[in-house]
Amino acid sequence: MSDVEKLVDAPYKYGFVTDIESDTFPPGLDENIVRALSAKKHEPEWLTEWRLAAFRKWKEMEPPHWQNVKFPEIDYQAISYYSAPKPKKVLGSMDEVDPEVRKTFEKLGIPLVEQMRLAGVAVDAVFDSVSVATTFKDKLKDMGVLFMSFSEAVREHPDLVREHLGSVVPVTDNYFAALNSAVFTDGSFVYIPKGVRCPMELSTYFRINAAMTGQFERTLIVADEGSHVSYLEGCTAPMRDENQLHAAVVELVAKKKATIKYSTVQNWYPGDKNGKGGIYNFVTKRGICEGDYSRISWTQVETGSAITWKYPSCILKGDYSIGEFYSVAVTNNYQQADTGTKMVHIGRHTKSTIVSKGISAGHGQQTYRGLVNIQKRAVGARNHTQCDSLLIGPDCGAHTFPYIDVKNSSATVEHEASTGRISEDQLFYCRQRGLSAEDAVSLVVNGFCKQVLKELPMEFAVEAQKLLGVSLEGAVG
Amino acid sequence: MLSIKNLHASVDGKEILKGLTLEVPVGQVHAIMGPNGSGKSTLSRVICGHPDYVVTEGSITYEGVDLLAMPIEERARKGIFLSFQHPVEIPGISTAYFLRSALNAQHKARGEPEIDAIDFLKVAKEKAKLVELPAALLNRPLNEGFSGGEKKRVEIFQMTILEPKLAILDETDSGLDIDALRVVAGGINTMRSPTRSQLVITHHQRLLDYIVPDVTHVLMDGRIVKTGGKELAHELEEKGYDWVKREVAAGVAL
Amino acid sequence: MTDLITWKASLPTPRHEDWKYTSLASLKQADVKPVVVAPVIAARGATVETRTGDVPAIDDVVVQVDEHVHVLVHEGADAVVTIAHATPAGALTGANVHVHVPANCKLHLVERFAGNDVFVHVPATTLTIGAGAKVRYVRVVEDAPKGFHLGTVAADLAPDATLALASVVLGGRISRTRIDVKLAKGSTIEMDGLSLAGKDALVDHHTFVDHAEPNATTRERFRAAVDSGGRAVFTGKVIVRKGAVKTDAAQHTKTLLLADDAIANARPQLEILADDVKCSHGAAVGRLDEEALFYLRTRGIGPDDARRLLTKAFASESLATIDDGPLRASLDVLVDRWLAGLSS
Repeated sequence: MSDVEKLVDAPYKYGFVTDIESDTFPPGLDENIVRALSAKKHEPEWLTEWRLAAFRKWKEMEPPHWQNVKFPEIDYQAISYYSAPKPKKVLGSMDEVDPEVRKTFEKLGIPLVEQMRLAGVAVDAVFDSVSVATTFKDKLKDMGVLFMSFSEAVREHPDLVREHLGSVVPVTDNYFAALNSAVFTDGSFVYIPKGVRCPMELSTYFRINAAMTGQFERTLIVADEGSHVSYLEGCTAPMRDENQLHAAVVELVAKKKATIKYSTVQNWYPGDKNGKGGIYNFVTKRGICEGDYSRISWTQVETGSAITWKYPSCILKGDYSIGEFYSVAVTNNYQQADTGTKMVHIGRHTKSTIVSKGISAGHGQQTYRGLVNIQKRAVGARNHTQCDSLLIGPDCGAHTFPYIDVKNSSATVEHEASTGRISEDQLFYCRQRGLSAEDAVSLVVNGFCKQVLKELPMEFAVEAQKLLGVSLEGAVG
Repeated sequence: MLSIKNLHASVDGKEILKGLTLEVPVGQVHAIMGPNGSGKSTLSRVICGHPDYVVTEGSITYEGVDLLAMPIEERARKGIFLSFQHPVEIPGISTAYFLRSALNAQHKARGEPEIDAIDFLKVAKEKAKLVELPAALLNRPLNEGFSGGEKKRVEIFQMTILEPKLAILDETDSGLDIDALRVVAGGINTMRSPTRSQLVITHHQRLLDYIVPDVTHVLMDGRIVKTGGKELAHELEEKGYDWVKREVAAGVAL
Repeated sequence: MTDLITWKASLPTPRHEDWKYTSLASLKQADVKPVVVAPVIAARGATVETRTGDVPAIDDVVVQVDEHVHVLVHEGADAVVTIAHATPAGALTGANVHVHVPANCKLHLVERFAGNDVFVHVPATTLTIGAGAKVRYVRVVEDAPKGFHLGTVAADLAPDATLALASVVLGGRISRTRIDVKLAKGSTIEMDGLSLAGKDALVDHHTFVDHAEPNATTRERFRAAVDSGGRAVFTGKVIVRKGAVKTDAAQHTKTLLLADDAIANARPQLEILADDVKCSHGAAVGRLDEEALFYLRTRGIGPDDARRLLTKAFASESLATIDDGPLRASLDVLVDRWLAGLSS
């Protein structure tokens, strides 16, 4: 085994199961379950109907099959579609949160209360599928910023939700989006009013808990004219054997001159070193730059999950709007990732940037799949794509499938991709200077990912850098 | 300080070092000269533990300890520094960040306190002047897009910060013009002290005008075939390696 | 001989990923009849034989013909072979040419395609290249505004063989060239492609390079220029199989859109299953450099001439590796003719 090939065997650091009572539906999915779910959440009639319509569409759809992603058929009837920590009473402060839950966050290295106070981050913690704590709400409320759980938004701001829900990701968009639309349990809702610059990073930590519970998050962020918001999403999950399905939908709407920055650090249980277990992460994320001069920026660091399938995308409808996608994905052991983005240029002088960095180790398989679509009206549109892969070990794979469709001659589209490996020379050089093999790999990988990491908010960037090191432990040695 | 006995080493099954013996006492500067392909770079890489080279026979001891049993970084942390003939590029990692990581890894291993970014930068700027390295270079990714001369100066700059006990300088003069050579040699000479040793590997005598060795060795076909003082370098420059070759053939040098 | 109705029914639709951008709907309307047309072959250092039987070893659109032409390069030869295909109006035809190159030989092969009025030409060329052999292969598809060309090339390289291929396509109602290359240890493929899609033409280059063994090299450079209503499609897949270490593969594609309603579709693809490799691809789509146009105009060159000149310069880079003087000269004439037909 070469030096580069040995860094893979560290057990998942964040694997444990919190033992609390769960209020869980029996496995299975039919119209009654959808109705029961909606009723449990005291949803209005229109939403129940919306879910049912989605469910009916979903039943007619075929589960997708992908060229470079392999997994056993999912039995959707074996999944329980609702699970929540038993609500004891309405919680007024963090102190009232289930101590077990709080301990879980602490084990994750996220001392919730301290972090909120020190970092000035409002944390909407989603434990399983229901919000447990929402903070800083009052301060945000003063500015007119709405940051709450999706269920709460449905109750308190039904018109806003109704106007935008499904407007970016239609119910029929894909199999998993349809499923999510039918059975989503909770998630986050953000609304930034006209001209407001959200004073803090809005952050949510997700956790999957109760065994065999699918997680169906729904996030909707609406940035009104001239507003600005940065949203952070991060997650880890406990170690277990059964594969867990996660099919979230995230919709972003940026009006005229609005900016939305959406950052993700995804570190769910990737399965063990033999590929047993791990999360299936089939996410639909899409934003629309609806107004002129609007901007949506996706940044993601994907190190977890057994299978990742996600393409955070931008529809650049407004003239002079900007879409960005910065991604780092790590696949180690038997992880598979099929990720990338779609940039659809509709408006004039729209601009997009794609930077994708993929690292494969062990038996990991990784695919970049991207679309740059310049439509007829998109005079002066520009795209630059850079897509690099780093391979560690002889058994992994890296695949690149960009699609470039240009229908306007004034557009400029550039795509560059490269694939290589960490060279033994780089490792030898670093070790000759006194760095350990693991630190050397971590250093080279961090350098490789720098362009993406620098897009992350400061406190996230540090966490992400550590995560890259942890994820590649054992890949060389 | 460094004691090599009957060293045999091969790469890809081909034997390069064929029974090399060398003693470098503490405080001395030794030059190793030899024609291309004689095994000079192999020697430097074997001392540092490059994984491509297999030692089949013989021993290397450093400060009385078996060096061959140590991983690469251990050797570095014990004070062995190699100035690479072809320094490696690490995109995305600044020279300053890289060097501070290396320095702190060494400090940590030796139980010394780590140095924070601000203190480090002060020292770094100081030392950079020594080899006439523009401070801006410290913020650029390590060796990426550096000229040949810049790369060599960065190597010596790293050496002056890491302060090794044994510095191995592999063809440090190659690709340098005369002015750069003087600067680099100046940097190297600041490290000369009774507690440190240097092994200067070159096939030109030119560098040795600036770094005057205590002892000069001639390496040929994987063995040290001749050892002398600083004047040996000049003799080689005049008479060429064929002269040594003939002597070896005649059994004079051995 | 192909049964026309069955054949048309068997044609792929855009739902097939490989044909996503190249719809054959218009071909299905073409009024053509199956005919066998033998190519005209001039050979030096090679023997030409006509046999019946084999089907080309490529999974694509093919026409079943009874005749297969085999070009057998002589042992130790430095051969020159020219193959000309002329398809008459109203014909559906598909010549199958098999070129066999023994080890350590040299071959300079030129294959030209032309046709009249409405025709459908589905030629298949296979190259079996022996160890250490060096082959230069220039493939020219001339413009035929109503013609359909669906050509396939399958090259199988033995260890240390080299194939330098240039595919020059000057238009056609639909002109698609599929090139499959299988590389053995130490072999090299150099591919230059030029797609000139004039008014309403669709030119499609579809390449697949299979690095099955270590130490092989790929260099792909494809260029396209597209006029009003035209479309240039490029799909280039490079697969590096497990164990194919020290693979060195680079692929570049560049498309020039010369009119507002010109379309470009590019799909460079890399599938890599070995770690010790160096692979890259690049794709660019854009229009003529405004600064260069301005520069030429300050020198007194009119805007249309300036565009033609710059487009010619762009196209010429694809032809730069063709060192056969007379061939290069005739290609320059074809390119000039194409440029003259550009809409202004």
